[in-house]
Amino acid sequence: MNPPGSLPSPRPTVLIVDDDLSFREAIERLVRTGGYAVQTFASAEEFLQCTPTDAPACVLLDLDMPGLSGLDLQSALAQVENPLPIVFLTGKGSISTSVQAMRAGAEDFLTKPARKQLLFAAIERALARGAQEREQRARRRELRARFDPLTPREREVLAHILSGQTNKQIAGDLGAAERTIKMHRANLMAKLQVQSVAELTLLAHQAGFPASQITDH
Amino acid sequence: MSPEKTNPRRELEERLRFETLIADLSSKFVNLPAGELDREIMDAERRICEVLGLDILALWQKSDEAPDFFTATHYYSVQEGPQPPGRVKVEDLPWLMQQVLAGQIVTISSLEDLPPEAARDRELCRQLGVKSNLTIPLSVGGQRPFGALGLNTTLAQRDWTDELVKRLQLLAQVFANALARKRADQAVRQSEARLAAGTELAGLGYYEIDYAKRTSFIDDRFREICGVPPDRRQGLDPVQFWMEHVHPSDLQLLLDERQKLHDGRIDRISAEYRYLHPDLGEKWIHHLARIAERSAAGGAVRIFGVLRDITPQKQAEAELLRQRTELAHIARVSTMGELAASLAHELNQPLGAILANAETAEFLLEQDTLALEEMRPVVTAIRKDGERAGEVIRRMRGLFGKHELKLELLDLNSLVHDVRQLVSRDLALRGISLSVALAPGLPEISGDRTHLQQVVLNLIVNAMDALAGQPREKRHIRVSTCPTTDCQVEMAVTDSGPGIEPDTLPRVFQPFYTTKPDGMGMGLSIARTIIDAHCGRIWAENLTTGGAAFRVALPASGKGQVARPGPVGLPPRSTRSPAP
Repeated sequence: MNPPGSLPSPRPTVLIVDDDLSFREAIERLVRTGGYAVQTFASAEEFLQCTPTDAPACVLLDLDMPGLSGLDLQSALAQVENPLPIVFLTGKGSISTSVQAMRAGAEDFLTKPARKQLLFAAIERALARGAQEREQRARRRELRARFDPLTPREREVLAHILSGQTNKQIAGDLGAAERTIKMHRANLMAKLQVQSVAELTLLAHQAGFPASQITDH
Repeated sequence: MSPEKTNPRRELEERLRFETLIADLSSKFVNLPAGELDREIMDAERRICEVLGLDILALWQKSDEAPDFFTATHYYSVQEGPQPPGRVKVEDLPWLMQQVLAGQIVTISSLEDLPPEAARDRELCRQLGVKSNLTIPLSVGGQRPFGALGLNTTLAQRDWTDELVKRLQLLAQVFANALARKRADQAVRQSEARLAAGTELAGLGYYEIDYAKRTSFIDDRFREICGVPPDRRQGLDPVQFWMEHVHPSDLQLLLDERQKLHDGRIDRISAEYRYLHPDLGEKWIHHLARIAERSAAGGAVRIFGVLRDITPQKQAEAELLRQRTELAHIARVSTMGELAASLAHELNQPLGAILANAETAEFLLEQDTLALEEMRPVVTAIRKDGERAGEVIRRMRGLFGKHELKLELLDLNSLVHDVRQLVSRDLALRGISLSVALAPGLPEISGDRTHLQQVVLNLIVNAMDALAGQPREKRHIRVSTCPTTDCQVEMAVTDSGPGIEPDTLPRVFQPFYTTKPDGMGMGLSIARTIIDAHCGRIWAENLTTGGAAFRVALPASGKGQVARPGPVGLPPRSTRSPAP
């Protein structure tokens, strides 16, 4: 079996979180037969202690656990920079918890005992989505890097341009000469390697910057 | 008016005959059977009339039924012979009756001698043609007179000498004694008839045993209830027959009680037991017995008692119990529903592991080279998880299944342990810590495992619910067991929750009483029903340290626990109702 990672070298990792030792071991063995690397955790707390990476991976998560529950871990993971796709695998599923989990972005919600095909299909979908999201994140990081050379003043001007203001309006807002604003605009467009305001707007959008965030970056 | 001319010889003869008559009658009436009394009195009246030359002799009695009348129960007239009873109104002979009731003998030689206040009496006597009269009140033991003996002449007047009056008074006393005996006899017979009617109405069978005379008596209903053959076969002792048909499991208890009654250690028996009726099969009997007579040493010389067939009542009780069992089952399932989190998890966990391992094994088998060392742990894990799932099912099955009450000797500690396993998952999920303090070497109890498990389960679930609003560090349940000084075993489930509202405390065991939004209000009520059926006690209290305690006390099994008939001791239903 060969999971469709974009890169051939690192095998994707399935991170298993379940408090039941015997189940954890069984599912670890099974997942390994699928050719995945496996890491296991006995609790949500233990999982949160390990440093997150952006390697191809997904989480196979139990719902009911003493301490932090699966849903608690899901919302904690949503806060981090590189959120991992999650497949819930639970002993007891209710409609309300599954809806909650899916709404919070879970890839799937399986109940134990789950057949291998279902499980692997869910893992595959989660990994595929993870790969896609990772690609987007990589591209975004790359695009954002282009904004790095901008000076604070240039960012200010950029934010105003993105919100559709003319040079004259910007000069008025920032209390500077219109000529100075024109100079900043020319400089920042050169640094960002764009020819037009339209191109500039697209780039900012692709980098995931709404106008207000430019200055914070 | 002057009396008849006297003839000394005739007088002497008369007196002799009269003395003979008195002696004869006195001896005759002493042991006269009640049935011959009336005839003999009439005969005596005839002979008295003949000997004394009287015309009418009447024996008057006052009856409770008609207090305004005196009835001539025995009436003899020389002209007409014995007469059927007639009666006279008290108010028609006011003076005479007053004298009689006051115990005064009245002698009237001539109606002219009657005092003026006896005008009415005189009038009536005239109408009846009475010329002379002697009236002697009848009474016994110094009691109020119950009647009178009236001696009359209608043809001629006569004198009543003191001596004659004394003799006649003696005769009257003979009559009075015999009549009083008959009246007492009648009263006894009447109360016997009433007793019989009462026992019949109440469906009671009556028996007596006389230990001194070595005799026994049973009535027809007793015979019917116990199926004692109707014609007393040679040598058939009904009491022995009865004892031989008492259910073997209950016999010893009954014999012990009888022995105690016989020895005078107790003065009554009240027992319920099963009886194997020779024709009708198993019956339930309620038996009451008392000492009728004691010996100087205090033991029973004679006992009497009643039996009642309470089979229909017992069947109704059994039906009620069956319904309760049904209800207990529903409540149990609903309690288990509340534990759904742990149960589904408990079972799906090993099943999920088994499936994963099996699929791993399949994968390994499909490989070109079989990796035995990889295979072994997989198979071992499958076996272990299979056992684990089986254990979960074993624990749950009892509580889920319908179930007849079954008594066995139980260790309360192991019962608590089982339930603890069952709820451990829920406890963990709800962040509740549970500690147990089980007294080692606890005496065993006699009870139904499943039902008592349910009580423990209900109490723990109840405690878990009580802790829902508490901060995590204050969620604690403690289950403890200990023997008590009065041969009981006590279990307590205490929690660190908010306790029970004081005005709610008396109601917590009532059916359908609940403080939980989705509660049925059956858990504690069922718990009490179960504990009651085990002759135990369950109660709730608030702890001074906060939180609530539910305590259960159950009798320790041990000596004196033979076949205790009661709802729990009922045999399985199938043995009571014939198979279709």
